[in-house]
Amino acid sequence: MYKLFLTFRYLTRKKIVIFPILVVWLCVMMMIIVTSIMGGFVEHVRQANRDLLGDIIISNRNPQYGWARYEELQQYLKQQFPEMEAATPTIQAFGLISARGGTLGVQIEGIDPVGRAKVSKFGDTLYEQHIGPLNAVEDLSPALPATGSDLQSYAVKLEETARKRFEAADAAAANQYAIATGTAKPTLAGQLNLQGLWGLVVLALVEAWILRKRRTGWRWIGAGVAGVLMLGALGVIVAWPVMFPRALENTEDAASQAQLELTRADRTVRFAAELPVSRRFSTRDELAKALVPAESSFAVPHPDATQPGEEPEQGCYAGSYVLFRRDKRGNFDRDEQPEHMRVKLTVVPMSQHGSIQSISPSTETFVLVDDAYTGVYDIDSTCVYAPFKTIQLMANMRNELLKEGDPGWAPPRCSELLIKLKGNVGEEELTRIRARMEQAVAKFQEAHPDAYFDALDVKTWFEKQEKYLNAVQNEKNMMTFILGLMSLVVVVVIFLIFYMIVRDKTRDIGIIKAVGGAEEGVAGIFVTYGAFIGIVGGLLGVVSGVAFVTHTNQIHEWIYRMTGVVIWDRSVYVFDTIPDTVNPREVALYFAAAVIAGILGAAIPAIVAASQDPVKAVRYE
Amino acid sequence: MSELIRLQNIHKSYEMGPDMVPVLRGVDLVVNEGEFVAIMGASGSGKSTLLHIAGVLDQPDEFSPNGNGKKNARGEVFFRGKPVSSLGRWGRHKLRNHEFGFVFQFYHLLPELNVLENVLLPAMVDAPFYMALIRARPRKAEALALLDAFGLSNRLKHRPAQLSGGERQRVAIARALINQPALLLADEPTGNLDAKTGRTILDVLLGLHKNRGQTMLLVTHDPNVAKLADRTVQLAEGRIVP
Repeated sequence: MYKLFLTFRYLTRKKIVIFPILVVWLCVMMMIIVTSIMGGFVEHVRQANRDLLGDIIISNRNPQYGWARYEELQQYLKQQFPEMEAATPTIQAFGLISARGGTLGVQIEGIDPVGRAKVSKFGDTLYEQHIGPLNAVEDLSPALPATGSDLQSYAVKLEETARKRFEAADAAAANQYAIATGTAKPTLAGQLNLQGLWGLVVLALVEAWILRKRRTGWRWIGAGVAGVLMLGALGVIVAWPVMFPRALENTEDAASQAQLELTRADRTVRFAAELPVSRRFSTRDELAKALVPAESSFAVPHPDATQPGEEPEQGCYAGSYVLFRRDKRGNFDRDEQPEHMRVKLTVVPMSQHGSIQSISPSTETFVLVDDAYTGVYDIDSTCVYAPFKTIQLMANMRNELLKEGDPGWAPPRCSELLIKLKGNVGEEELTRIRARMEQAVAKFQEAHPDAYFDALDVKTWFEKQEKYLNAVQNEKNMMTFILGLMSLVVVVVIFLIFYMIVRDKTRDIGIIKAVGGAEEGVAGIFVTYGAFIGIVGGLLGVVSGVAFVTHTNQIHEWIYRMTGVVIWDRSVYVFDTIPDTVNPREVALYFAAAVIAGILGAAIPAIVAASQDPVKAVRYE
Repeated sequence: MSELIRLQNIHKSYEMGPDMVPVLRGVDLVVNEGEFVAIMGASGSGKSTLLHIAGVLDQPDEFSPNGNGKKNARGEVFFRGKPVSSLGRWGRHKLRNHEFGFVFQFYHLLPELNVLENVLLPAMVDAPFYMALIRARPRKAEALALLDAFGLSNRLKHRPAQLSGGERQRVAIARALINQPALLLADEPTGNLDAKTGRTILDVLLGLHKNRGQTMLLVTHDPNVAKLADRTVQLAEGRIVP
């Protein structure tokens, strides 16, 4: 019993104990923050890849030339694998995109948007056809249930409010600009950047709390108030050069945010205008069904864009980073670009042996009808999507002049066959199905020697992206390992402090032994003490780490508003928001590691304490 | 009176650099139940060492008679006729906790604990683990009675640093008595106190001996203190002077 009792007393009476607790706290917090954000990044990349590729991918080693008999293979696999839900062929070709006077090397993907949407969540990445309408559903849903006409007037009201907000924000920015250029005077509130002042008030209250121990009764309140005033004054003096220039940037930033909201409200008005006036919408789902197209398409939305007598123009999608710029806050400049921009796509066909010399590149004009934001930067910055059949022709994978049986005819080719299985198949099960499918594909290859197969690869989505996913995972592991090594300092700090405590408590140890305390008991005091430090520091680390991670975007926003520093630059990183999910297993692991570190750090000093000669200990000066 | 503790042919030496300096050279001592024995001697005569060996806090020298590594103790302590060396490590801890109470010259109270907690420390050593969890204080009533008897009932929550020397020593005596030990071992209990306070402490100890029949072995170099004992043993050069 005395072990727990003395441990508690040492914990509450020894101020030096604050330091190891602080070290454990900071280390646990740091580990949780870093691994949560890195883990969120890894999970995001994995999810984005899975969403984009489907479950199983069949491809060959020369995707720019491709392989034939894909439709037959698709049918064959459908018969062999009842667990197969859908499949779609795609083409990958080297190419160029020319728009707004510039040309960029890209990967052109020929896809069937409907088929692609069945095997992956590609449709969800399209801004105009999915994200935009969903934004409108979100904006209109507070008015539900309502008729189409009600929703239209609600959208107009939203737009009016957004316009007023924008006008106010714009005026504030103009006023701030006038102040900055010396043509207007700042208001008092503007001078005392109120948000900054709140931070100072908190500091002052902390100061008052510290002072309360030195004063009694009402005097500490007086001291606190004095502290508030002193710190407030000091804060204004110190913070002025930082805060005041930010005021202009913050108002400008608020104005551009308000402008984005206004643009969104305008779009919502446009979407609401498409709703049937008399129909009643009760739920969000009903509204989503009416506004979000059931199937993605390359169709150009405004037929009048086609010149009289011409063939209807074809649409294409570009990865969001291909044509649009993204600011630090993560907004693409879509609305600054002309609507339905015409782009020229040049496809460079490739021979079976990887040569491009014998075949001329093919160029066509497309209308950019949408942009795809998959969340994988490598894809969003390089891929352009166009109709499968068109790209097949341009890439010389199909000859429309020859029919089957004509001399020189060859079966059309694709680069990849993307396959979706029924249900949500786990990775182990997927690997088993993939192995069976590999055998089936090999059999099919034997039966179709004319299909230009040069060893078809059958891979799961995670095998296909293995190198990339492993690189990201290794980065996380390496970071965790380095931080873990750094965290060993916790054990050293606890060891040093405990060694000091044991030296300091030598005589007490002698007394405890003199009154009958055993070696195990004395060691137990210090080991329990170490464990308590681990528990207290670990708990503080868990609470603050989890709080930080779950509020990381708010904290980031606050830092941006206060200082203008964007730590998480969205123009560089693919996330719209910083990953803020915590893995409970990792948190539990770090907490356990903190307790073990506390025990390990205390173990040697505890053994030293336990092995002290009680006679020497009681005589210790 | 029956024999409580017997020290037989006790040898003890300490290392001083490369040399072994003998402190006790074959001491024999018997303390009977209810007896108050004072050990006197000059500084360095081995008084405190003898007290520590009697209280099983220290052990006599060991030697290897056959040179085969197997060691024999040079001397033996018998408690109620039983050799202490036959007890295991846990047995000796238990003996110290249940049967002996120590009072030191410099009080040796734990500074983090208050008066009541210091007194209860030996009782807590023996108390089960769960009592700490339910914040129970074992034998609190006895501790309060002892502190009351020593005039410290108004000092229960005070920490040692807030007490005078005499008060601290009374707390130390109360701590030594909480487990109702068979033998109270006091090492110069008045050595760090002024004459008046020292006298108060001696009165307390004498009261215990007379009223409760407490067996005591007290080390002192002060003849005035020693003459209060039933018997005085003189130590010189590590031997009892006949």
